Amino acid sequence: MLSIPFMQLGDLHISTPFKGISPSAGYMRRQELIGALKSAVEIIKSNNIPILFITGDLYENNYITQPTIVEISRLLASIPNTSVFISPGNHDYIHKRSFYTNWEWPSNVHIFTSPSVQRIDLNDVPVSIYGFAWDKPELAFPMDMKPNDASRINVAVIHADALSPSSPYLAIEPKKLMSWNMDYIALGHIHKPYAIDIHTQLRPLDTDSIQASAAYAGSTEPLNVSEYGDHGIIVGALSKNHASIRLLPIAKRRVINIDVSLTDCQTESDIKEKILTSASKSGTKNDMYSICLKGRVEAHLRDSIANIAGSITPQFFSLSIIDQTIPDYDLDYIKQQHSNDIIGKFVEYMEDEIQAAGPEQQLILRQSLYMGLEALLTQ
Amino acid sequence: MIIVKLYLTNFGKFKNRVLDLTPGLNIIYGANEAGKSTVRSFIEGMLYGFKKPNAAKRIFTEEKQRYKPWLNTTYAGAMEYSTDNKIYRIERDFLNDKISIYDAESGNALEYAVLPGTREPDIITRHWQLNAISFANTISIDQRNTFSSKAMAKEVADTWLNVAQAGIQDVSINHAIKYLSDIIDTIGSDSAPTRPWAKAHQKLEQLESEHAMAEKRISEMQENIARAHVLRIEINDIRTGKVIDESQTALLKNRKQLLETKLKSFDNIEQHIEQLMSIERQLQETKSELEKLRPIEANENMENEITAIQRRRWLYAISGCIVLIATIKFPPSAMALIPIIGLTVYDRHNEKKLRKQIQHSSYQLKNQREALDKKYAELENTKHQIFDIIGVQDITQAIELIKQKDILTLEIEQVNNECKQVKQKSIHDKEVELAALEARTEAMLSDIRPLAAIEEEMEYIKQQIKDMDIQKQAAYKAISVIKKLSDQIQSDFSIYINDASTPLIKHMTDGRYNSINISNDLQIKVIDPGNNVLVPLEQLSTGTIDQLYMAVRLTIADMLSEHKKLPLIIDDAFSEYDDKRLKNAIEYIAELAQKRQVIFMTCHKRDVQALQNLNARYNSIEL
Repeated sequence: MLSIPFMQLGDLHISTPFKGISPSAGYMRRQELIGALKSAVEIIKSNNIPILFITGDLYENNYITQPTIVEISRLLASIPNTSVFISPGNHDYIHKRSFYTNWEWPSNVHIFTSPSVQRIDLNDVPVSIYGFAWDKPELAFPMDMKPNDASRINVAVIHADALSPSSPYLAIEPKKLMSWNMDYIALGHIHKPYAIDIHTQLRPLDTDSIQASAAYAGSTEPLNVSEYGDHGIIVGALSKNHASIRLLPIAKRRVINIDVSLTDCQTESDIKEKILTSASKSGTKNDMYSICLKGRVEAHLRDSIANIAGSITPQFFSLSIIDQTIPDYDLDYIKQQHSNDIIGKFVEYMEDEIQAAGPEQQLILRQSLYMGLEALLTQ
Repeated sequence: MIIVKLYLTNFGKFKNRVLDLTPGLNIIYGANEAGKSTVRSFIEGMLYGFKKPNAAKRIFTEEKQRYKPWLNTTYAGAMEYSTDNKIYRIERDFLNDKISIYDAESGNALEYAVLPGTREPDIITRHWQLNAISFANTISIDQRNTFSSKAMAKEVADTWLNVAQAGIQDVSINHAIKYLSDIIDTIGSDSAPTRPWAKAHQKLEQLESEHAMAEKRISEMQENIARAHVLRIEINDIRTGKVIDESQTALLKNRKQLLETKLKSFDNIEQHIEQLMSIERQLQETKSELEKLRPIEANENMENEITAIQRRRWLYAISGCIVLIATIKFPPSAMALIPIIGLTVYDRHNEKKLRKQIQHSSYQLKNQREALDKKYAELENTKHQIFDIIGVQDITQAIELIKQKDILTLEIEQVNNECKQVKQKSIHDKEVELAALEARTEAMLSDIRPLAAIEEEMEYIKQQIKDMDIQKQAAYKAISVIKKLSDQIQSDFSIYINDASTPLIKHMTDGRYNSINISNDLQIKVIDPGNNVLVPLEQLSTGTIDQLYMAVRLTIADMLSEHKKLPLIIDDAFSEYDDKRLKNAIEYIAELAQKRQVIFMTCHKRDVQALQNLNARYNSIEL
């Protein structure tokens, strides 16, 4: 059976700003997004992969500048024997001044620049590629496409949301996708690697090879603290009726989200030790950590958490610490012990207010409570 | 409530020391470093276990370490106290934080609930009604709580104020509010430009304008890129001749078109002119042929011959006549007539033949002339037809046309050249524009940071501002709640203090003042009943203030313990006092001891002496 190797990548979001990491780490991460494309290109070169699908959100319209486009353009030009297909998505949608339409792209790069479905045939292999371009940041229309030559291997390259039916980003249900009778659909938009297998089952995609009807490669590099797990590109082979694919985790860094309880920590070095140990258990210093501190910490010790965090941050590529510890006050006990004085009354009063407040206000009131207690008890 | 016995099994410097205490006044005397303070700390430790109050888990105070015996491996003690007609015994192992509570008479261990956090038995707090802080700040008095003369009045007033506001001396509302205000101050506001709040906002403003600039540049860049793309396509198209640049060559193009249309009308002019020329040539030829037709030599010759023949005929006639005459004279001479007649006949024949020939030749000539004339006329006709076609009157005009056409062709060539130049100039201009665009694009991006980086920093600052805002809001809220509660408590408590302290004041000042007044602005004054004048606290004698101070502490203790009459523990509090002040204080203590247990620790013989002078009854313990 005819089997044609291909690579799929999507949601690189080149030039994106990063939230939740330090500005200097953000700067490096942006370089690493280009680096990810470079890695993918190297893999294509060394494996002579003839087809590359880029499923949209390759870059971000709002932030992209010419030098970066030059870099992307050069990389794609360095694989002249590989046909590259780009379907613009919601972050790199086509507009009047889009780089997709105002730039001389290498001749091996085919960009779908029309909002209506277009078909491009490969000359040397019986493969037809269907795609279209987003022309605005949100899309909702009853998307449909039908291959018009069943003898060829028909592939759709699109940017759409197959996971949430109410998404403003072109929601399409997996069943609908299957009804198009494409042999494979390269999807973009969802940042977690997912595959729709040949039984129309949506499932996370990992490094094990599977037969799929459609798949998201996910974001090539994790883009925010919620994008934990493996990230990279899809490599595989197209054949009639399905594609054999697997995730190739080329992402340079991983996102590590952990909760660390500081309840047993008595000293600053205890806290430091606890954070460092927990971090090294979950990943390496090159990873991007988001550590949520929990538990009860003695009030004076709690004040130094920011300093401790500051002192260990340089050891990591990126470490953001969310302090959700609560001061080591036993409110019930305090109320009991101070039933006659302002401390007890303060706790009671604040607890009543917290109970009655909405979540946003609760955050402030809880701080108020502990701050006030600190003020009243630290004399 | 009476403390009955203290068993210092292994505590500080004490080892297996038992102290028996009685109701009323107990004096524990010991030289410096004999361990008086150790005894007081022992009582606190037995009751509260040297743990930080309020914490949700066990955290020990530094005292625990301080009284740990150096040499012994145990660190323990026991204490008995009576309350509600029962004697309780607490046994404590400080080392392992173990505690047991017994009914001292039956020896039965008591079941008790454990307080969360400190893991202390709730039964002790239930008996004493005080927590560790209020214990230390009411019934346990040591040097830490006493004052040198000068600042004393103010200190007492402050203490009192705090008590009035907060119920226990440990809580200072002013302190708390200052603490919270400091938080707000440290963050700062818009009006404090050097503080983090204003700095962050300034930074954010800077970033916002940087962001606007970067956005503008990116927009310009996109504009430039789009324009550059168009230029490249245009240059390529002009080069490959796909299009010519409309704007630049439009005029020339029009002119060229005009010229070319005009030229088209001259399309066959050369042919026509050539035709005309050939016609003219033919006409000339015909004409000359016609001219040639007139003087025909042959005919002339024949005419001449005929003339010669006619002339010769006369000669023959004369010769004949002569011969005839001669014949008459000489007949043989008639012979001579034969050649003459012969010649005459011959000539005749020749003449006839010539005449015939002449006639024939004339006919031929006539025919030729007629043909030539016809041809000439036809040629003339064709010529005029051509003149009509090309619109001229004569051949000179026609030749003029050729000149015109040559000029036109030249002009078109010029226009073509001009077009070419314009095209090259157009490419050049576009290339220059393109180069400028590219340079500008590069330059406009060179001095700005990536928009994403600016946004990241903005996000960072915004988060900082948000955190600060939450902190400020939280601090403001805490202040307002504390103030509100404090006002409420103050008014409740002032009433209580006023009520409770009135008899004390009366007694202590021998009726000179009969009540305390705590005003809304927290000024404490006593009222002179004689004239109802409010007298500031600091105007009272130091002795009176001491007593007031103790009285207030006891009043609070009584209030908190619901009048359990808790023991008063005084640890060397009077060492700085002068004799008179000491006397007053001792008198007051002796008086108090009539109503409650007083444990008075001192290293001063004069204190003991003062008591002896009063003839007071007391239980004396020497360390």
